[in-house]
Amino acid sequence: MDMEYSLAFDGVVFHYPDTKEAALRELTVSIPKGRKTAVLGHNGSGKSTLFLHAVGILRPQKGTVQQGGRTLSYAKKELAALRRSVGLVFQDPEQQLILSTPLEDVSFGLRGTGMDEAAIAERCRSVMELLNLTELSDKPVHQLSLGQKKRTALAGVMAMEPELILLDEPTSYLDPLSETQMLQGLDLIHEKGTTVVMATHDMNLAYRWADWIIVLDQGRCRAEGTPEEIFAGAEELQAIGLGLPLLADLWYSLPARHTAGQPPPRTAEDFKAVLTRLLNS
Amino acid sequence: MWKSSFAALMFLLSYTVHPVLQIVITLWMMSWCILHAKIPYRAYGLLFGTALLFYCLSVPALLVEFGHPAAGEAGVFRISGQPLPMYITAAGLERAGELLARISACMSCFFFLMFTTPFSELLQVLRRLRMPQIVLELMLIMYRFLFLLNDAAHGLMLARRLRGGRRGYKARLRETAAMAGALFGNTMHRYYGLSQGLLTRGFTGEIILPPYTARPVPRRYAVRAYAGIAVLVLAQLWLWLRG
Repeated sequence: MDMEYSLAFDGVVFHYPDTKEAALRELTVSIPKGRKTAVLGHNGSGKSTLFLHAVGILRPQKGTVQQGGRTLSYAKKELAALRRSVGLVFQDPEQQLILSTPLEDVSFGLRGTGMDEAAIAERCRSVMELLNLTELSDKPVHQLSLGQKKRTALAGVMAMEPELILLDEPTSYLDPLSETQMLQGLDLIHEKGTTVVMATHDMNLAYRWADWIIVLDQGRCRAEGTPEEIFAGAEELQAIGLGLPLLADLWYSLPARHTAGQPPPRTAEDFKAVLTRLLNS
Repeated sequence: MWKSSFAALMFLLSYTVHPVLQIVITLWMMSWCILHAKIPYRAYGLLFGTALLFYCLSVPALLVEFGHPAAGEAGVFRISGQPLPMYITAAGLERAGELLARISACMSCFFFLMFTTPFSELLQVLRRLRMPQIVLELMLIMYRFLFLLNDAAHGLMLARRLRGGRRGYKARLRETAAMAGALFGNTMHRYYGLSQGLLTRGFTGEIILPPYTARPVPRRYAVRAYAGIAVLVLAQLWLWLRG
């Protein structure tokens, strides 16, 4: 399949100081443009390190990172342009909330671009409305819940209108309602044409949400493809201790005559519909 | 800006007016915070008390004199029979009282500003007053870190309590020292995280703050403030004229 890529990593090696093992070991992987990609892997598999390379915070000790087919040179101007086109939402929102209210914080990056105040206000208003943050706009940041902080951090990145948004464990520690709100927000961003990449170790979430999956293990790319392709073979995933999502696992445990040739359903609703059809037939 | 100007004027008055009026200012500014801004008594009292601790620490130096009272200076309280007699004079007591009144008044003006003005507005006012950008950025980062530190300290305290803690003075001291170390580590970790966050969000060496936007002042508050200032000035004039 011919695909356009937002970012491509070619043989990237990275070693944190004072560690024995490399965090990335000749990692070669590409992030397809316009898709909802999930980067799967255990803690320490290199997901966050990959993201820090994607925004130029870390530089490969070996190998290259390419954006739009051009290899990054890490010149000051190029880095500024990269960080405008690639947004990163950290796992801990406290890491990137800088100003004291959500409205001010969302406008933080925009003020650095020299945009006029009216345009900044309009951009902030629309982003905050999209993520359901309008009512919280003047509330002190330290009084927000974790879910609200995560959405504020996402709004700050979205306001810059990047072509690619990277999210490091966006749903960790969130209650089901906050998780749903976060995912709805991500879907809306994606519908507007932004490439969205999420690092997670939640197989169920990745299976339900993503349309492209990258599996990392010990700093290497073990597999990449559509969810159906990735979860078709349980053995490889089990070999690296990831296992199957619940729906896929249930699907493969059904008698083969009912499932033969069919990929497992992606949502509980689809699964219910298939089961109902089976029970009625 | 209006609130900052009001607080600044009250601060100036607190320095210059009679001690009785300083007490009036203290009570008036307290009422703005507690009755109008609904700041909890406990929080206000705790902060006020903590700040007064420094005054209490300096009081002995103001009050206690060593040796024998000079001619014409009466010791209010004396401890004799010591190799070096100690005494407290009426002048010392008066000085300490005046200082208490002035400190309370100035502090209440400062608390008024602190409790009732959002931090971002305070920064905007300081920027209008041409405070150097680097100072504003430092203030902003320190303000963010206050809450991060508070969260980290609270988490560590809770974990210590849940694990039962240790008994005995020495063990507690050791534990507190370990906690301070952990807090430092945690803070450094957060500092590293925040600097990464700043970079990814397009920080180019300067945090550009939102522009100042003046908010309308409710008429009833403005009337009350102007009337209060007028009464204070008139009362001070009357006290001067009375000699």
